[in-house]
Amino acid sequence: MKLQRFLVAMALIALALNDLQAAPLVTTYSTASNQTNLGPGGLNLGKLGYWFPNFGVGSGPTGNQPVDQNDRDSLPPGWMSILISTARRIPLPMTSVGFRRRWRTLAVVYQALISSFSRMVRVAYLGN
Amino acid sequence: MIDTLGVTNNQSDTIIKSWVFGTGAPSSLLLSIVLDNVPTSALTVVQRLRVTHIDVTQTQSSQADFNGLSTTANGLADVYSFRLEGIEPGSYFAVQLRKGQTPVPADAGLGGILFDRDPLAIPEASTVVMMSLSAAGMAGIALVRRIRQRS
Repeated sequence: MKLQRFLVAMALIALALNDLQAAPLVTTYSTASNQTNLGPGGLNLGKLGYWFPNFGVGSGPTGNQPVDQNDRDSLPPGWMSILISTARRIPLPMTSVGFRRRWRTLAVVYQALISSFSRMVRVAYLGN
Repeated sequence: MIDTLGVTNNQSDTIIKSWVFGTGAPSSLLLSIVLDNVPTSALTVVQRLRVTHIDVTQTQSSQADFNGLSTTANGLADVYSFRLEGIEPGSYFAVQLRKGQTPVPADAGLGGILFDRDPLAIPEASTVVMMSLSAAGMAGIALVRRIRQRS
């Protein structure tokens, strides 16, 4: 009888705590300077997803072009949407120089393969 | 790298308005922002990087800054990471850059953003209780078995 009461009490506490939501908070965490590899073998970031608006292409948007014309989007479907201004373009007279050949590209493309694989695994798991 | 945030009065404006969390987003995560991915001939000097978190009631709930970044602009990418907690579907964050150059260069801005699990995340309280509950249940079953064996 005592055990039953204890179990019921614990279940009620669990339900109550489940309704509690931590207050929204943003805090600084870390910095890493002068990086060329953000993926495996480097900082190993982007495991939940990433978005680079103009990444690793031979030419880029100039003038009044969409800011995400050459993006690399590895964000999990559904849990993030990026709101860009209505026109989705850089307003004139401001000009985007976009990609430059001499600009550094960061090693995150490999992460896209990992992310896709993880997503496939997850879909398969949910399907079961 | 592209001037995705745009710049007005030495401060990024709202070309990219916000990043909105949807269903399935984790309750906390690590947000990393890439800056300084520029050629050394056109250094971008960012003095301050700010992330603001807005809750589901459209109220600014919290913000955090990295200040004094201007000395790090050398054309090699820098990564600044923030922890976001209390994420709910419909809440969002915004990124703002403040520059230290006059005139403001047109090629400055955000390189990209990356998301990872919150390195300081602890199991939710309800999860801990449920685990305790399971352990208590197992102990209870063992106790009942012992009693039955004695009788």
